[in-house]
Amino acid sequence: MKPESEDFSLFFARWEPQVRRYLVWLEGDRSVIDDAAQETMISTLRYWTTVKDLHRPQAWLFKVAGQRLNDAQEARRRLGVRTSPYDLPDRSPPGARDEFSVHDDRLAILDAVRKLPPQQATAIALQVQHDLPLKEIADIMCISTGSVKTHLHHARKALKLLLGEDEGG
Amino acid sequence: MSIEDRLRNAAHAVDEMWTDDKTTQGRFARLEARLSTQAEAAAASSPRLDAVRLIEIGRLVLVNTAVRHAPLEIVAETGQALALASAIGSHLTEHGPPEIADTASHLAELGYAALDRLESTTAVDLRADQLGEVPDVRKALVGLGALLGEVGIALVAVACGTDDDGLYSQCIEATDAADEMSDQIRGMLQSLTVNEQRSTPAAAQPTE
Repeated sequence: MKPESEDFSLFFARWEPQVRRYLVWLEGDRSVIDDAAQETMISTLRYWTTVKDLHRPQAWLFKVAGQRLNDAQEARRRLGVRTSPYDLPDRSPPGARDEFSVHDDRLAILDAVRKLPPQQATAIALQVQHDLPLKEIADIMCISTGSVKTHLHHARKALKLLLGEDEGG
Repeated sequence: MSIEDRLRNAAHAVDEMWTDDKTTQGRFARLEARLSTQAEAAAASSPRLDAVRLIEIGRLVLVNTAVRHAPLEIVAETGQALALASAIGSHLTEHGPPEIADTASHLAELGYAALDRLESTTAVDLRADQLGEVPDVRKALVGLGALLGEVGIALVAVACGTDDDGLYSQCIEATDAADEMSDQIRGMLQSLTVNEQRSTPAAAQPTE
């Protein structure tokens, strides 16, 4: 049997970046993403005996990540500071380039997605970034597949309006 | 470019983010450091702590030891949890609601007996010595039940991963003790609920 810590570190290496890739569709502040991703992993540890045996842990992870993101955003709104005083964000030296500082035109649409109502943004993130089937998105969002379809439809419609573009252009 | 194309391109761009193994390892190290720092800061923050706080500290430290898979530390944390359960049991025997006094006393005895059998805790400073008050009995018992449950899970992992017969036996014995203590805690919670329902019969009525 492999040690638990090794199991978790492998899990972390595989899934923590996926959690971030989900969160970045919903939040543009790196420090909030840092907090939410870290809290998600701490929750994973708390429920490790359950999570480690999940065949497809993404549903559990993204559901928890959404909750932790709400907590982190709420903390930022309430206090104007990061959630945890113990884990200050990385401060790269001047001139250094990280994921957020590198300008990438392809990411511009994320700003528009983040302006959507949360349910719509969540549905888009799970479908576009993680290619999840409607049923799984519905499970994560605790709504029906019909509601997921409605959110996706409205999201795409709203994006066209926000970006001022016609489909097919 | 259509919205669909732009969304697809964005997904590809996001796929290219957070791909560096080294930075992922760095984030993992920060997670470990945070758990460790939180636990130490919490433990050092006050000489007298209420039960709920001590339980929370115990759970944090246990998570941290589980991350590092440190079998002896997990056993040591088991000792801390048993000692805390015993201290809370003793406190509730004297100062808690009368309806749980007997069970609380039994909980304390089980904890002390299990602690005696746990070799590696003899030289440890016990955080349970910092126990001050138990202001919210129900919350403390729920938390204690969760802590003992997590201790049991951690011990099973240690037992499954060790070739040391002595350590294996200690883990199994302590797991049994934690289970038995959890039963006592559930019994106390049930007694509290029954008593609350008796004292407020209207609240026990189902609502439409």
